[in-house]
Amino acid sequence: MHGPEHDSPALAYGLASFYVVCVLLNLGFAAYYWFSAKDKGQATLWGAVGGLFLVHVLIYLVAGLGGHSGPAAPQALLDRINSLAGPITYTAVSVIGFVALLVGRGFFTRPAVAWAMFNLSLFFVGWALTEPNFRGNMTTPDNVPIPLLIYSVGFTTWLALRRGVLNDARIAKGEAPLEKSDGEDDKVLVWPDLVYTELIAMIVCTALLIVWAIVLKAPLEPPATTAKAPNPSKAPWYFLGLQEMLVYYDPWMAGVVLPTMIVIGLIALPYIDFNPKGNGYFTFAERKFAVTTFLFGFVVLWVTLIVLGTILRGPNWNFFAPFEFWDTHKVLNLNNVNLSTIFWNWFGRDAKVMPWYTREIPGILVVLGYLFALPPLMAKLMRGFFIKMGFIRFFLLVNLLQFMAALPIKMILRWTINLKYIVYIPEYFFNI
Amino acid sequence: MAATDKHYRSQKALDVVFGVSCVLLLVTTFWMLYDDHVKPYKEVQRDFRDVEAALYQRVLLDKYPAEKMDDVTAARQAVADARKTLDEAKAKLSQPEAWFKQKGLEKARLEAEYQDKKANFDSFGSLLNIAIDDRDAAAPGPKKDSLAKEAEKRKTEIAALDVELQGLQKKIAENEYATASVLADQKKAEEDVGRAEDAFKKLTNEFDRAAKTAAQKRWKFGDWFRSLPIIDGFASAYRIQQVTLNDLTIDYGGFKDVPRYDRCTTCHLGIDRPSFDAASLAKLGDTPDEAKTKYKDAVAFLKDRAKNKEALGFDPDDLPGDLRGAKLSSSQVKEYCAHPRLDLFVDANSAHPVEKFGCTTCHAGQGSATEFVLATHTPNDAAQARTWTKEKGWRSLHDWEFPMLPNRFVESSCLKCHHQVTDLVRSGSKEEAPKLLKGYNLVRENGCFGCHEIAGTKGGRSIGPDMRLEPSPALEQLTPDERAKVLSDPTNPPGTLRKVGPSLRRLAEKTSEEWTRKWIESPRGFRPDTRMPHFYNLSTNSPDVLPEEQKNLPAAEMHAIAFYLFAESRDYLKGADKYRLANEARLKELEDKQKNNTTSEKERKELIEVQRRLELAVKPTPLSQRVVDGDGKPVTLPAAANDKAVLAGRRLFTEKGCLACHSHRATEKAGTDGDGKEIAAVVGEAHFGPNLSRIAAKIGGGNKDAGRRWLVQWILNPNVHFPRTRMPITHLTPEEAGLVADWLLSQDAKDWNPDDVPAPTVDTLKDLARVYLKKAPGVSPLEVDGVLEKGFADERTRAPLMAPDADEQALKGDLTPEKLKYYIGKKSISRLGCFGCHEIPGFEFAKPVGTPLNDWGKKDPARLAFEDAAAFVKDTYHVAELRDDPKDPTKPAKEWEAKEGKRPYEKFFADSLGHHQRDGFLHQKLMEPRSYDYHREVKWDDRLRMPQFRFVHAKARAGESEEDFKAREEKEEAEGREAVMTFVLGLVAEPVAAKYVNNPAPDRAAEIKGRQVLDKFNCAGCHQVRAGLYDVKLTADALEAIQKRSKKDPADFDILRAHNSWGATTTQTGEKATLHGFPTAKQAGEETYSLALTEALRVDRGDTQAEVRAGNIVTVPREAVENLDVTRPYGGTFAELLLPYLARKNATIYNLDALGESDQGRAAGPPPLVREGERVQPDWLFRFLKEPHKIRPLTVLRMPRFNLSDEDAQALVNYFAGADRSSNPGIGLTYPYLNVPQREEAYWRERTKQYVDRLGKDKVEARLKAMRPAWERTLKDQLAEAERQLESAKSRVASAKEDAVRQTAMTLEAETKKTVDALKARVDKGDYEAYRHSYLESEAYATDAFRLLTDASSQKCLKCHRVGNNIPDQEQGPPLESVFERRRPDWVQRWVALPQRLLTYRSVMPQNFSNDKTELQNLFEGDSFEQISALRDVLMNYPKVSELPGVRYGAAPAGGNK
Repeated sequence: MHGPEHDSPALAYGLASFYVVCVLLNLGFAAYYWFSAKDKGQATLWGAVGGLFLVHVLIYLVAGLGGHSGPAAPQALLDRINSLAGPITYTAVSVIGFVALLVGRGFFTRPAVAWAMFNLSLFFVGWALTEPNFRGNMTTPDNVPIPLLIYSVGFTTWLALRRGVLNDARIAKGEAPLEKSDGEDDKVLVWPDLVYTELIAMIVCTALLIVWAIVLKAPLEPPATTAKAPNPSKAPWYFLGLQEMLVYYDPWMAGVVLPTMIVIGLIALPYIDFNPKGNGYFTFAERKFAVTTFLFGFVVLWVTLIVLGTILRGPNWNFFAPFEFWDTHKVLNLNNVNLSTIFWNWFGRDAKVMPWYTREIPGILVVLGYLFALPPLMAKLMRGFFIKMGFIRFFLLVNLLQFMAALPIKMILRWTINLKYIVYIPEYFFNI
Repeated sequence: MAATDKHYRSQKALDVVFGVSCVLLLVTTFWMLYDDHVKPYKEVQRDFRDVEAALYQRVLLDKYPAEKMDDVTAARQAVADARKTLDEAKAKLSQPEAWFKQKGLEKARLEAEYQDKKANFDSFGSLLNIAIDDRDAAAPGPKKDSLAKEAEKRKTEIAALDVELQGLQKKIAENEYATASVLADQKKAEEDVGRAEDAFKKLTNEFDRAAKTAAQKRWKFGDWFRSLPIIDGFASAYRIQQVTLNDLTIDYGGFKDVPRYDRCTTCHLGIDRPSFDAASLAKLGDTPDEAKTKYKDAVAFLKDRAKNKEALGFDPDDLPGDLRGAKLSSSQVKEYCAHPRLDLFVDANSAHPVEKFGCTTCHAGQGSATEFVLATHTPNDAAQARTWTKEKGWRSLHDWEFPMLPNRFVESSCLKCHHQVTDLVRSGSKEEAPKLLKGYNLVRENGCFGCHEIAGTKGGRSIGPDMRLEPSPALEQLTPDERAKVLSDPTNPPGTLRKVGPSLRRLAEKTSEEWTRKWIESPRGFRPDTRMPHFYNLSTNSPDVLPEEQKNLPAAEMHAIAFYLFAESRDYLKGADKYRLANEARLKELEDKQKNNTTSEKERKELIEVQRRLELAVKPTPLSQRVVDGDGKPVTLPAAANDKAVLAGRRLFTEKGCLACHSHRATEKAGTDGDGKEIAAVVGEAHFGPNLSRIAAKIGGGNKDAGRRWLVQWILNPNVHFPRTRMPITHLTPEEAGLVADWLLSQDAKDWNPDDVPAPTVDTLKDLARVYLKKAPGVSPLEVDGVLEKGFADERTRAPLMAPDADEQALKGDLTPEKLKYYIGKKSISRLGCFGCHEIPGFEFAKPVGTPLNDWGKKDPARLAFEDAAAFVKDTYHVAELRDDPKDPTKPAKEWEAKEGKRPYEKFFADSLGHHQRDGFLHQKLMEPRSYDYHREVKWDDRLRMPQFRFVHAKARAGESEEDFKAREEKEEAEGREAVMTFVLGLVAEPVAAKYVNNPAPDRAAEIKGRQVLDKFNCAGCHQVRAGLYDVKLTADALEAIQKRSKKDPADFDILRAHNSWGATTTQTGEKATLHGFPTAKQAGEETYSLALTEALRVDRGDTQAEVRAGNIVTVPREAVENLDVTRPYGGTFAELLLPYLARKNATIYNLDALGESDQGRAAGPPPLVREGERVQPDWLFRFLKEPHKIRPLTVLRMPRFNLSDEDAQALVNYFAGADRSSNPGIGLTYPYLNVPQREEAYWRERTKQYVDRLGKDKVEARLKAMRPAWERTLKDQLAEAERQLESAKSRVASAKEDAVRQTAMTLEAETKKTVDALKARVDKGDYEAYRHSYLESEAYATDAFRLLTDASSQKCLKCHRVGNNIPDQEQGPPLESVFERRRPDWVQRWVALPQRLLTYRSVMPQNFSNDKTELQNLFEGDSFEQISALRDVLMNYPKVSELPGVRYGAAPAGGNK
């Protein structure tokens, strides 16, 4: 219902150009197979996919010339997707996808599979853009970095895993990793190999930024005022993962403790890492723990939460499905309860009337137990690690992991038992 | 680590990539520069430069004196000739050139020498003084001697120098003289050249100036170079224009005081240039051949002059060779054109110069933006939105909180500074913001402020219009002490507006419950033009939309409300209303406590309060017991008239002014009175009071006698029924009132006969009561069902379980349907807020129910609940793109009509609603206030409750088809709605810096305030108050019409020219003139417009000189009159209605002329109040307004008595005086105090002295002789009086019992005796010396002057006016003995001189003293003006003058002894 371009050829032309890019990408890919890899089967396949996109180009071109916006995605399908969407599904799907990616890395990192997935995502985006709410959200100048983020993170992750998989296979066969075989000497010249490329990168970057600045002007948003907060009130896109944590934790925790732990953790990483392997080359098998932990923290807990915060959080920080109108008046049941309330109700007592120290005993115990009882327990369970790393490094690692796990744990508790706070001491503004 | 020469990457490839990236960077850099070059505002400025050049070419063409070219050539020739003469003179000089050169050199040398010597002279002078000082200071001795010598030396030197200087001066003078004598002829020739040049310049000056501008505006090489791409990034010829407003800040909410930067003029470059009017810009595209030729001629003319070395001040080669065209689209015209009202806005000399006010202060929008979309331009309608979207990529920006106001709402900004609103009416009738004023009046008339607070102040600071309800009890009812207290609070001064609906306290006497129910169900069903809004059958509660279980609730509610009102009303009439009972009970309680000395401080205060409340709540006397007249005296109810006599009631109803406020359909068709004489039709459109057409169905509610009694009482004295009513006391006799009432009640109202609202079942009542009970404070949900069976038990209703004033007290004891109804009625009234307009017992302290509107105009749309109103609009209305016909905005557009039974709805507002914008919300709220509940599940009592108003009441015109009328009706209603919106959107509560708030001078302030009171009591319904202002284009026809009227009357004494009726205050020299006046009752034809001028008009345009004095009728071509709607006069509607009516009644007296005017007819109607301020004495007017009495015998009706407060009356008095003083400064009006010199003894002495001198000795002697009999009688009278006093003194002595008393009485007796004796002696002696003395000293003038007044033979005054005991046969004018207290002396003089000048019509009063004749010298010697002045003088001191011996006993040389 918003925006004047209900049925405008501009949309059709935009989509047509998008599909032109898709066609070109696939043709390039096909050409690579045809001429370079000499795999005619693959080349035909991707040529055909390119043809499919070309059909889209034609459809939208015709529509545009006729003054229409062209065919739109079927509303029933969009509604279905909307009805499936939710923060739980979203997080669950990302975690499952993540696990599947790691487990099936051999399959997923095949170029054809990856390319097919890339094509699917383009296809999805193309049709999704016909839906005004999604389009409005994605084409906001502020949100342009998000697709860039999604595709660049996707690509780099794929690249690392791909090379890791190849290297693992080589290592298993007793061969040297790819990186080793790339050059005979592992040293290169500062000039021109470093400085020259850096210079080129600088120039291209500058040119890119200029183009960006011209094409996408800084957007006008409401004037700053103390009297009225914008709704939704969003942090810059790169902080939206942090902002998402505010749903589950108090600001002191989500805004201070957890980010501090992230920074400390990143600094401490080289000192904690005891695995000398993977130095200078990609590998997965040799660094399973390190790669999995890092990717979980970065891709699942940081990047996907940014995407969630940008695209799926709307007014009042409510969750909105990708094709849903951001209605300010939407109200969701966010009636959460504290651990103390649940606990004491269980014993038939009213938590409200108790002094805080009695009331919060269970929560405090749980937190203390988590922080202090769990590490020794884990030392016992992960004896190998403990022995290899030594006391300090091990406990540092476990603590960092605990803080990282604190977020998903709280998320799950929120979704399953509507838990608000584990420790709830409003008297001293201390809630966990 | 030796470097290998093997590279990791291919060097060549890197080089290629590097090369490509460099090119990329270069390209993007150029792109960036290009992007800067094509910034929209630069494009606009680039286009503008062509427009500017072309437009100034047109100005040049316009000023080119082509038709005066002969004159120009002649003048130019004259210049050439003069120059030639000059050259000849130069050639003929007696000395060769070398001589002049030599003389010049010599002069220069002499002057240099003189300067040098003069410097020496000055220097030596100072040295001499020093030497003298030193000498005097030195001790005697050789030093002193040498110093003395030096001083002497200096003296000698100076003397020598002085001689030299004088010599030089002489030489210089000689030199000059020699040169001048040789040059004498040349000098004269030079002067001739100067004169010729001046004459030429006069002809071409404007043209030259225009040509210079045109040449300068041409784009030259430098401009072109600086605006090249890339170069324009540095010192661009384009630049952003900006106005900085540090005091008119933008309030972002929180960050206060953010200065405003308006860059609108960056694109709107022609906004302040008068020649950039839209019409000229639109015509720029045309370059007709004759214009091209003319242009070529003009340029050739200039070039020729340049070739002749005539100084032009510019190079004509700079002018473009050809006449250029610039085809502009309509949006470009709007972009570049000047502000349409440069007289009011933008221009540096206007009231709102752009440097001081900027643009966004009024227009809103993002002033700092330089792009069309970012500046938040807002289209005025859907068509414009579409065009803009297409042409300019327009879209609505939600993020800027103050988007530009669409043109239709731009007037709302006026409210920011014009808090009085009526200050937007200038010069009495010129509405500068007509839509806003209309909205303000609609809000005022419809009583929006009853539910919605419109406070106008925040923390004692004025932030907007103050439209609060007056305090209750009203100020007039308070003691002075209470009043002072109420008035002294600066942060919360009392409101001034009365509730717009009638009081319902005595409703039970007026009508029936059944009628009330039907009325509530559909007020417009009964009275189509009522202001009462609809509460039922709306989108939330019509039976069509209600679910089965709620279908009966509305009817039940209506029953309950009517029941409650009548129950309370009956109690009130018995003196047993709950308010009184509660107060009495409390009083008793408190008094008991006081007796026992147990009252607290708080209770003591409360005791006083309660006592006062009871004092104010006067116990009513039911009408059945007595009917009173206007003064409160009981009268007997006249007997009901028979069918024939009843018809006379209609005559009274028509004539006595009822139609000034009410209308009645029965008066719209001609009828007859009881004698079969015609009563003419009068089509009144008055809407101030209710339309009375169906009153018979309402009053009495079936009981005819009670109804009649009620109506008679209401007509006689409406204050009995409702003290705050604006209906005045009519001054009708009880018989007349009876006739009017009988006639009104005899009028058929059978066409209104709806079914009664179905009575509710007990179950329905219970359902409804349950709704309220569930939410009642302190009532548990568990007991609700029990209560609905048995009611509240007694003990349950006692404190603390239930408050004593809780509504639930009504359900005490056994539950009856009546109790339920009462309870529901009270709850419903408090929910619906009926008390916002009506006084209702039980709601004495209720708070208004609506959202405050104080700052609604800037309410954040995010805080408005739009809900599903957009869907409602889609389902309910037919969305039309346009409302007004684009070609003729007074007509509805084609698509603007109901379709498939759906009312039209403008797309502009549908879009606005869809975009969740403020104006869309407001529009729908006014259209169908409850539609926001559409398709929502809302509990019965949580539903929206704002009723549906109708703002405009259109009447079908003759010959209009049903559809056309419907479409027009919808359009007018939409316009009314938009006017209300304009007002509400202007309520932004932004405190503007004090210097910007309109702070008028005292006279203007009085005018502004008074206008509000005039409107409050509908004074303008009867009286003409202010003349209209007509801007008339001075076309040839118009000028001719003016010229025709330009003549002097024989009685136009020049001495009166300072008055604006005789002499215009300004001379009109331009293209337009402003005429003050009233249109005549009828217009002679379609093409002309006749105006009776109220102010003199002087036109001086070189070719035409004319002066038309006031009182003349000027007939100008209609098309020359601009803005007929905005400039119409203020008031006089009823006076206009009466004219044709009276003419039908008696064509001999009230004879209409061709323009529908009749002197007698005008005189019979309410008098015009134009110039009332200069006419009346302020204190008299004040008394008259409070207690009007009959003055003029010719009127058929009387001024009624309004219940004005002192403040209201004062405001009216000040209004008239203030208005006249500011519009007519020449007459030196004073108020509120007034000096009447005729009341001073010295004045009379002075006048008498002059008069006696003028008469001369003989005439004085004759007069003295004639005075003797009068003195004789006076003396006898005096003696008789003294003797009478003596008698009474004697009797007092006789009756005195105490010694002391007797002593005093005896002294008195002795003194009286003395007086009697003295008088007797005078009578005997015939001693009239004292009289003679005072006659010559101070009476002669008055005595003669009074004869002018009472002269029977000339009948100047007595023919029409009553003077003392002289009652004329045909009394036409007001009695003259009261003039001294009513009229201002200056006015009396002007009036007698020539009444026509001061009225809006030709007065019945003739012009008695003519300028060109000298008459009645036997009565009063002097010229006409002296006679007029003398008349004024005696009128202004009538009581004293009438007691003079010569007046009392009429020592008249001729006549005048009546």
